[in-house]
Amino acid sequence: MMGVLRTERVSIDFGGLRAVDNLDFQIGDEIVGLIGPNGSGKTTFLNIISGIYKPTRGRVYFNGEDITSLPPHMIRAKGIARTFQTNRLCLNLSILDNMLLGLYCQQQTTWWQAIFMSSSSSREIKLGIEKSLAILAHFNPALITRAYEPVMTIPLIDRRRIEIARAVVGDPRLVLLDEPTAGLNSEETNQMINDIAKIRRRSSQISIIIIEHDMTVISRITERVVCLNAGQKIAEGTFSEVARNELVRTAYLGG
Amino acid sequence: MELIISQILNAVMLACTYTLVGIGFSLFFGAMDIVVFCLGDVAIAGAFAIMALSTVMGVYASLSGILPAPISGIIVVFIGACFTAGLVTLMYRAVIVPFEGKNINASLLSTIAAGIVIRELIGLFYPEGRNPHAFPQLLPAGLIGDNVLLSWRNIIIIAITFIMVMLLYWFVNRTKTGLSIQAISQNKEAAIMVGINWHRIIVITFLIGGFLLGIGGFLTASYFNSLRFDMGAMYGLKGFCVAVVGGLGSIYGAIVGGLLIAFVEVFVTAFIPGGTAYSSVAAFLIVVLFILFKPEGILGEKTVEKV
Amino acid sequence: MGNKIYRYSLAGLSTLGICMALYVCLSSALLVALIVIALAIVILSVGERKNVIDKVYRLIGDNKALNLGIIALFILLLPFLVQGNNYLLHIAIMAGIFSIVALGLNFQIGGIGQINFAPAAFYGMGAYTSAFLSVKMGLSPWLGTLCGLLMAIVLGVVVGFPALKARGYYLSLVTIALQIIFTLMIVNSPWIGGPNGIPGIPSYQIGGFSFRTPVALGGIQLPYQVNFLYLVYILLALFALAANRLYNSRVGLAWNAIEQDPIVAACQGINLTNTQLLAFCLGAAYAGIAGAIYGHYTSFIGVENFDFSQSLIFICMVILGGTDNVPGVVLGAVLLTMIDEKLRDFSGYRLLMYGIVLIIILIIRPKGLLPKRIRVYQQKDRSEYSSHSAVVTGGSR
Repeated sequence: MMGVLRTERVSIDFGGLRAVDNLDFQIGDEIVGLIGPNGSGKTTFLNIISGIYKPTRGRVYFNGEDITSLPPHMIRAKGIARTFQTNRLCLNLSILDNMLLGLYCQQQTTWWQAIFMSSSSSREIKLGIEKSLAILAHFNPALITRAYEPVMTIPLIDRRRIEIARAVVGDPRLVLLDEPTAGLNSEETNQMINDIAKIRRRSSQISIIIIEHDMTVISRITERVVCLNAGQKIAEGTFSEVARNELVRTAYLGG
Repeated sequence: MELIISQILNAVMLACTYTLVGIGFSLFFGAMDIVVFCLGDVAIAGAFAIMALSTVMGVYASLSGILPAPISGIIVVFIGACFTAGLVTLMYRAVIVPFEGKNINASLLSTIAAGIVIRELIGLFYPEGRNPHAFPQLLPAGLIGDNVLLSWRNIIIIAITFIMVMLLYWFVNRTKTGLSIQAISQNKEAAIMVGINWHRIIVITFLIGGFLLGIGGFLTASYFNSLRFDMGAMYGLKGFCVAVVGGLGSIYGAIVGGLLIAFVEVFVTAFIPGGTAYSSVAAFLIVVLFILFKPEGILGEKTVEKV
Repeated sequence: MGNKIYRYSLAGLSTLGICMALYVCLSSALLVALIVIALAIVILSVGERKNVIDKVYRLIGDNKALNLGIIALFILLLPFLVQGNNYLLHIAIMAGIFSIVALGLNFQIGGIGQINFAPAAFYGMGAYTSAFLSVKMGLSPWLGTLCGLLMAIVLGVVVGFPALKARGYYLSLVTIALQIIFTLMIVNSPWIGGPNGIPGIPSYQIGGFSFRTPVALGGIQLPYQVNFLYLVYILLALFALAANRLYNSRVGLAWNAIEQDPIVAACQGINLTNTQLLAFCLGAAYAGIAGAIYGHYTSFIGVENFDFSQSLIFICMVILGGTDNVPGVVLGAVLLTMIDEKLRDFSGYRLLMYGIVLIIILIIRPKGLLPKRIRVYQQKDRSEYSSHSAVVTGGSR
């Protein structure tokens, strides 16, 4: 199994607080769940991978290439897409525009091409629209008829779907999902689990790191689980192995 | 040596005039996370009110008839400061409340527009409003002893600024209302949850800030000995610069920032040939550099952007 | 078929109506102009409530060629309509020049959501560079204009660079400071005229024909303003077209994404540095060329045309017209220019009016006369998708 993403002894300090501590992590062609109590550094770790934070120490390798010091937009161009804990779509823009943003890294039109060669620019956008609508149809066909509506009129579950679709539409190699089911009821959570499974069904060439508090989600879709506590990895393995782990139980129950 | 000392004194005086308006910016930013761009105009409006009371309306003259001159001076300035307190609270209702919780660009533009409105209204409706006026001397003139450098006026300006800052310090740190202001500026939601009446505190903050602005406007007009309707634009801008350099939201930062900006301006004017023209340029350049390389200012706290 | 002809003529009529309303505003007294504008606002608000505006947009969008033709014809005929009145033509030219600046400013305000308080500095940079080169160095005004454009772009980088690090209040302070520094530097530089400005700026020439010679068209003697009118509006058409294409391209989308959430934008692969600088440089280029034309048109420039209050006027134009809506921005610029000129008799009230207008718009109609719209890509099969809520509603965050 070839590693897609690998981190070596990654640490990050905020003032005196070490949010992520000497974390060794790797992922291949699989879905890895990242669990841990609140404040254990899960989201911070995703922020390090996607380039929003620079780690104080340690390195991040993606497809064997060192991406530690790259800015977020270059990391996205390499093929790492993500969603956010609090749903962060561009609320004023339409569903379609949000999807096109997900394709931004694949498009080539520069500003002067947009001005002087508008036909090639609109051809590119047209292709993008077809692709976006295809992916939207994959998640929820009802969204296609609402493609020109601003996202702020869309219910939460669909916003999450759109955010995931936006991450997936640009054919990333690795997708980081930060609590995709937060704020959803159990029915919606089930739908979301199916949606995430759909990503892998569409292409097995997509690896997923998913942060979740809902253990049913973790147990149903992840192939491997990593548990963090206070920035350190305290357990790793299949869900049942990790669930039985004494350290994990203590961390969650606050022992 | 004489020259340097007189320039230092000059800078301290200028810093005094900047500090109070800088504190106004910091106070409102701390309480509401908002920059009220019309503060300079409000302060100058206060100075105009004081001038009106002393000249056109003759309040000062009639008061002087029954009371000793310093006390009637204090009363007039107090009324003027109360006027600015009212004016700034009016500004809060008219151009800040409608934009609460919306994009900051809206409140930014509306307060700038409010500044223009105040300025132009003075220009239109104050008698001879668009011409420069000699500000009435409510502060005693004359030198202290034989020293050419120390006049009563200068000493009183510095003393008033000092007293105001001390009063504010006492108020913010020793009274319940002041502590509530601090609580709100640190964490609004938490402050509301422990039962602080947010709305009342904000209005009090504006009243206090407005009062300080009135005093600031009075000191500025007294220092320059003249008053123009459009002084407020530059004065407010300098006040904002002072607050940013010192650290937006920090009251003591405004003092430090005021000193820094004033020293730069005075020394560029005094020691660089032809520097008079470039003193403001130098001050603004310093602010730009601060924003680029140390945006939290000298005394402000560095904030980590939440992702 | 009959329906098609009906829609066609309806589209033409609505465009014609807009042109006529603008003409009435231009040629009549202040009071009439204000009544027309007030009427337009009422029609707009009522129309929005009844979803008529959307239909008008679609009507005009579906018959683009016809409507552009009518507008072109209107501008072509304008000198004859006003019977060669050079003052009215002057207002129309200034409206065109300011529209170009406002379109450029819109890249920053509407695009990346950063209020730039120094558009007048860009505008002045173009004007002063071109005027200085053509007066003092004897350079051709055309080349001078090009140099003005380039120098404005340089200034755009200088102003845009802080925008990469600072946002909101801090950026506003930086741009205000740079605007004031710009004005102070001009006042204190005697070699470019200092407070006296630069007089005697030569006009454009094509093969010996100076733009400052009156022309006889169709047997009617027309003042020299006609030349500039056509020049300015040809440029405005090109610049508006470019702005529209940018808006509908991935660049405009990236700008909007940065406005909404820079971190999310970066995580979609948008290079924040380049994209934001682009908004400032393109905006500066627009303003620079407009400034250069202004100088060669009026033959005199002074620092008061490029100070902070002029910047505020540009901002007012964008906000009044509607941020990130190309026709809206042009409309805002044209309307404010006309009102401004009509207020010449009450010059003491000019700035007061801008202050009050700005506050009122921000409270009553924060999105401007023509609010920003959802991008519509495929004209042909758009009917498949419902677009009844095409207008962005609610707050921007």
